[in-house]
Amino acid sequence: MIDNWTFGRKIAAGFALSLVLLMAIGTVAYSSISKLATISQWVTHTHEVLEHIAGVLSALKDAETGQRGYVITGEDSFLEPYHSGSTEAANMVKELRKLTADNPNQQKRIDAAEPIVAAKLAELKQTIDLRRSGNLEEANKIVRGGEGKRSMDDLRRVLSQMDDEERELLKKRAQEGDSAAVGAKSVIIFGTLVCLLCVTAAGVFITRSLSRQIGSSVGQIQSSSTELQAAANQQATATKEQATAMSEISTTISELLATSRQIAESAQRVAHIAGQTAAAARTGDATVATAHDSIATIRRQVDLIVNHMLELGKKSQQIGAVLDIVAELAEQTNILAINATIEAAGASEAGKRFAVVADEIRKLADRVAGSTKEIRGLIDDVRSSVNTTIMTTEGGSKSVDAGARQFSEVAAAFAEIAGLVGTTTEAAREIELSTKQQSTAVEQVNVAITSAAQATKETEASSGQTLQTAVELSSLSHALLRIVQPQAALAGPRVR
Amino acid sequence: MTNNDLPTAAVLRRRFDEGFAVAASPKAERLEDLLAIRVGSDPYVLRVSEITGLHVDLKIVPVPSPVAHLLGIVALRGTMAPVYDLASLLSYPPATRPRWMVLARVSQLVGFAFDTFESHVQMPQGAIATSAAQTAPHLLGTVRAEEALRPIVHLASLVEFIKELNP
Repeated sequence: MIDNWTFGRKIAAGFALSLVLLMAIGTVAYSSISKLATISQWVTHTHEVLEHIAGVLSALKDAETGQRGYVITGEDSFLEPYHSGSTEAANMVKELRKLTADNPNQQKRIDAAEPIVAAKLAELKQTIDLRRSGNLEEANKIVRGGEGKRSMDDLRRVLSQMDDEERELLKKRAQEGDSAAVGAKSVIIFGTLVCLLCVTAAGVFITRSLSRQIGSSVGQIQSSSTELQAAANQQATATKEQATAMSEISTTISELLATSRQIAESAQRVAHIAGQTAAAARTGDATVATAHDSIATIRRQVDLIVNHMLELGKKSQQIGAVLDIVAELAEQTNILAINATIEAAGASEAGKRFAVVADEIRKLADRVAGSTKEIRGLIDDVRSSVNTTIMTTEGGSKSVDAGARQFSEVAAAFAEIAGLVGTTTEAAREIELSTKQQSTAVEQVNVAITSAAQATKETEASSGQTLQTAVELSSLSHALLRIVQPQAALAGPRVR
Repeated sequence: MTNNDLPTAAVLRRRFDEGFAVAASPKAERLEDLLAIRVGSDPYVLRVSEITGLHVDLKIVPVPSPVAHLLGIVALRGTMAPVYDLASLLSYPPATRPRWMVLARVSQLVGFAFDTFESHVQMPQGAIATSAAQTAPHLLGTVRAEEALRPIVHLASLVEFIKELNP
């Protein structure tokens, strides 16, 4: 059970035991010393009583001495012992009564001694008065009558009884004092020895117990400090890795934040463009309706163009017919001119002049034929162009019809596009809002990561301090173990 | 030819007037009148001096004859003339009926029909390359006219040939 006591409790128990022993010894010693002091006081009292007893007899002797000297000489100078002795004797008796107030036997003897003293003082005074009055004989007679001597004998007898009793008391008290002194010595010596033994035993027990407990605790502290040191090392390493990871996370979060902002800006632009697209789609819808009307107008204009082209083709055919006539005429003119030239070649000088005219006519016919040929080519081009235009226009008319149908489909598509663009706008706005919220959240995460990184740095510093503390704790435990268990400390493992 | 290449009416008038206003130069080189034609798809020329007339789209009435080159006869100003296929005479395979015809300047009226008449051209005598020895039957030299080198058909030789066919 005692092994489970705490360090302070064991120390307190040791001190309590010592205190109890000291109190017991002190009490016994105090009681013995008090008793011894009382005995000593009573011994002193007894000596004082004895001195007073002797003082009464001495004072009466002085008074009797003065009385006899005066009676003999008649000189007043011999009365001085008488005066001091008589006063002293009365005072002594009174003090003696006070000192022996606790002793009835002595009080009885004082009661007996007191009239004797008074009678003696009266006899002395009587003789002195007689001498002073000149009755020397009368005074001598009284002295020789022996009254004074009897009084003194009675007083000596009474005082002797008192003295005997006081001396008996003194002897008794001396024995009691000796007995008390021996008891006090015995108590002090044996009590001190017992106290020393108990305190030594308690000290040894407490020292051993505490050494064992502290040694065990110090061993545990050493083990724990070693584990704490290893844990601090691991924590420092982990904290460094965590700090590196936090730094990478912070960088990644920053990049993510930048990307989120770019996405938000892109979403905002998309929303803006989608809004513009929606407006354009609505405008396009109106434009499509206008274009539909325009297509109908174009359809009518194309029909007019076709009709006009057909008319132009007919006119071209008529021009071709006329040109055929002109060409025929030119050809005939040419033939005539050639024949005229042939005829002129066989004629005389006048035929040569005719040949000139014929040649000019032939040239004109050639030119007319060439022009006719050119016109025919142009007419053919015109007819070809007209045919091409008619075909193209008819194709355009069909395309216009197809375009009209397609425009209806385009109008429906535009309406659908407008609806989809509206949906796209809403989606883009939601994306923008979500991305902004995401950016805000990422910023908060970034702040948190920054705080975590700061906390990691602080943890790293704290780990270093913990490691240093663990080392110091290990050193302290080793020093403590060296204090409480030097052998174990020397035999134990060295602390880093 | 484009519109820009066509002579304006004023130019035509000026050239026409100059034709009568400018005196004939005595030193001017003598010009040979030629007719540019096509037989089959080949270009040829006929000398105007060897013909008496050019005709087109005359009605040729076929007549039975042992001469395969004879297309028929035509009526001209109250007289009749035989018409021979020039292409056949120049050894071309039979083709469509020719549209054009010339009358040779001989004692008898003889017509030669051909496919196409192109133009009447006048060439200097120096531009006509003639050779004494005939390089081909019924041809008399060559001339470069209408952007082509054209053999000159010798109508007199053809007339002689026809005569030999009709003894």
